[in-house]
Amino acid sequence: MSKDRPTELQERLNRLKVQARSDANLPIEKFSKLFQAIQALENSAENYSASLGQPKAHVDMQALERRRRKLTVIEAIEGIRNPSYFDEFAATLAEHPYALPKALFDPQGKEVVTIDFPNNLGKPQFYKERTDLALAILYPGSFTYRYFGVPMKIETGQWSQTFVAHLRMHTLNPNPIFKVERNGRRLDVYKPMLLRGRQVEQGNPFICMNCLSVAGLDEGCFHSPQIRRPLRLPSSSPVIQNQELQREKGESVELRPPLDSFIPKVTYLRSLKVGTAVLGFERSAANRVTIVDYDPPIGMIMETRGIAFRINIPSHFLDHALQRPAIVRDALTQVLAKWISGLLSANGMPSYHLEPILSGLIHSIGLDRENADVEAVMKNFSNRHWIADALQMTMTEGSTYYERFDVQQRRLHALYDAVARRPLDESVVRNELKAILVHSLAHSLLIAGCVTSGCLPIDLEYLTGDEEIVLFDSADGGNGSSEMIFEFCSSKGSFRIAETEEDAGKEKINRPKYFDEAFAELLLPCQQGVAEKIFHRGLSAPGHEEIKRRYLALERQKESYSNEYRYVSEIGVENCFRSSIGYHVSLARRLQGREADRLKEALGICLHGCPDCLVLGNKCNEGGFFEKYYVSKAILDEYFRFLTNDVTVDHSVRDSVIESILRDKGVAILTRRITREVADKGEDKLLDRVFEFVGRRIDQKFVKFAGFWVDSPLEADEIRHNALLVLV
Amino acid sequence: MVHVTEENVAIIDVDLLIHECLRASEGKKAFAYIISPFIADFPLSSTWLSFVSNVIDVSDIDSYVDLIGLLRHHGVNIKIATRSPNDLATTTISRSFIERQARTLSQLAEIGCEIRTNASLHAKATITTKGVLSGSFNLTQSGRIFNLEAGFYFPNTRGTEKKEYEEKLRWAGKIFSESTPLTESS
Repeated sequence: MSKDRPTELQERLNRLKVQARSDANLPIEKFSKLFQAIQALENSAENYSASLGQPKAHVDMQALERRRRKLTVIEAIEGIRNPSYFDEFAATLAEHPYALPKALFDPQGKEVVTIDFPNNLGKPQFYKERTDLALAILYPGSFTYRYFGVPMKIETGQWSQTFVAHLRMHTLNPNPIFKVERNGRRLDVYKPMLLRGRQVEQGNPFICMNCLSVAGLDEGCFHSPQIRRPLRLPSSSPVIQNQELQREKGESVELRPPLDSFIPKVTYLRSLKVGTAVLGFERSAANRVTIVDYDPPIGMIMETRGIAFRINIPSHFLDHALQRPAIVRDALTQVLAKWISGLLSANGMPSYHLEPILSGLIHSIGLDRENADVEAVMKNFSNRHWIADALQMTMTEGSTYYERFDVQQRRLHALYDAVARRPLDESVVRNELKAILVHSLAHSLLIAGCVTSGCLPIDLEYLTGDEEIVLFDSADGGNGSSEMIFEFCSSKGSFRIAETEEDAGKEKINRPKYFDEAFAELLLPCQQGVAEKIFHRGLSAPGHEEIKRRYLALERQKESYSNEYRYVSEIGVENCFRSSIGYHVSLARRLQGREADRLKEALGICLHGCPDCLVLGNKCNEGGFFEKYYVSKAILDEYFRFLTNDVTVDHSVRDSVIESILRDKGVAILTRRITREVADKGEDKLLDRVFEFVGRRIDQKFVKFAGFWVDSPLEADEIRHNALLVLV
Repeated sequence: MVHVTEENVAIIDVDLLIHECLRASEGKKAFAYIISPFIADFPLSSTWLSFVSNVIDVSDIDSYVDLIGLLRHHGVNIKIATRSPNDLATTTISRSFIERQARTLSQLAEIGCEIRTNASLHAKATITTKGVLSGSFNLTQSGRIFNLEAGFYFPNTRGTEKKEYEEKLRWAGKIFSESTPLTESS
């Protein structure tokens, strides 16, 4: 409409109004409606004219440019498969003057991996995650509810026949990043770039009771559909092997006596490169466990921080331990367990068959006998005549006590044959004792580290070596745990007067639990183990609240487990570990399934570790299923006794002997043994002796009462009360 | 008998009290008489508190009152004889010191210690089932750490020392029974 047209319209409307007013025949209703319509038309015309009078809108070239760039970015994102750089682009998408953060929580590590869920209907397909996190919770074979609460699985491809997952569906860096040694083989480890997942349709899918594969996914089970059960999604954990690649040392400190004989030096590693390889995963369902290996292993190189603990295990301790038959018999069992577990996958058998296979073996070589002669057992093993007996024993035990024990005799024979080819002699046991001791020390150090720094076991990892154990932060870039442990390593420093100044204005900060204090407590005998040993040995309970509570709990259970507990007492606690493996004891005693399970439960007392002392479960480098064959509280206790032997004396020795030890070593352990024959509980006499020394000046220091613990060693039917005196 | 100075008084004191925790954890009768005209909470060195055990847990202790709290937690009977803050207010002792004494006694009363006051009290001692620690040292930071002090410790073991111990224990019981229970007004 031109600018004159509104004027022309208004003139015509004016004329119409004059004409209407002068028309006497026009009814009043029509007159009224006509004027309302004219009024509306006039308003519209006026608005139109006003709008034409507005200044011209200018073109914002900058905004146009931003929109053009945004469009380019969106087209670029649509065009690429892996949107891992989306965060880099995202900042340019923000409208001026605002800036879009890259992420609410930036990934901490430098390494990232894309999780790809194709066919993720209605939801984003790609997710960027820290590689260390992905290797911990999003490894192939894991299930996650991380994305919109929908169950997802990281793919593995078929593995149920061979227990090997070939990771072809994932995108791995073509070049290996480091090598790891596993079962004598050097394996290349590849960094994952993109891990593919898929949605799990059912919350309670059918799970094969043979291989634990989940039906309807990509795991390719060919076992009979009849043995599948609808269960919740199985739990799993990665099988991880860490390897130190590079380190930069920091400050070192020494621990107080007597801990300095365990750990002569502690060194902070301000920079530590660790190769973390995920070799496979452990899956658990319906009390069964399978372990699936990856081909190839995946991993990353983590730059983190750590602490190195120097350990010098004296060779004469190993000589000493070899003279302890109860320890050697169990160590032999642990060696055989490792040999069998290393051959299960290769022979197409799931890991949960370890116990019946091991049980058959230890029975056939005579290792299951109470107080079996170690030399005779090793001789039996070496002559290979045991294989036929072990086959028969395992098959009988399997068919009697295990549901669907479908081990093929041919495969089992091949496995036993391969085990029998390995040389078993004193040097093997000696190396095993050392490996178990180092691994047990590593667990204790890790737990003590968690106590001191307040972190969880998932925040720390450990590496073991012949002369050193390294704890390190499990997050790429570090998470501060190691640094805090080192900072609060020891309260060795002298008491500073400044600390005592009271300042009412200052908030009170509780004193930390120093690392050496926590570690020392973990080196003491396990309360549960002590209570169980005392109870089953028929010794009277010490009065101490916690041990007494555990003792009384066993006493209460005695009514319903009378036969089982009687058997434990008959064979002796030192024979319980081997007897608890499989069902060879139950088979020999012709027990029915339920009775057999009860006996197995009663035999599972804490000799080599329990969750109260050093068992870490899935946090163990060997995984929760195999952990009990890699650690031993009994060996650790024996090591403690060995290293403190030269400062340990009976409480009744002359004052001069105790003073001389204190003078020379700065520490003395007074002990009193209570056997069935000794009526009194002995503790009072020991403490009376302790308090004869408290406060005495020796050289320029004073005697302090610094510890008290109750022990019942594996090979002695007695209770030992121990009191620690130190010079401060 | 052990000669006690400011160098070893706190070590012996803490050891005697930790022993009562051990004893109480066994369900045995455990007690401590704490006798001192002046009482004020003070921090304890981690060296004195360092104690490893698989039967009791001596942790999260920072001060003397915390330690007494641990004893009470284990059910140890604590009897304290001291001077009342009201009585001290009539002396030349500083107001801030008296307030600190009142605060400490209030904390000790709250955790279940039996507190009695005696205006004539000048003796200082800690007596437990295991021994007697007595001397010039008040139960304050100065008395246990800074001042030059002298005293003795003898264990409740055998011979003369046992006789001395029993005599001292009777003396402590007498002092405590002849003192007046602490009330809010005192």
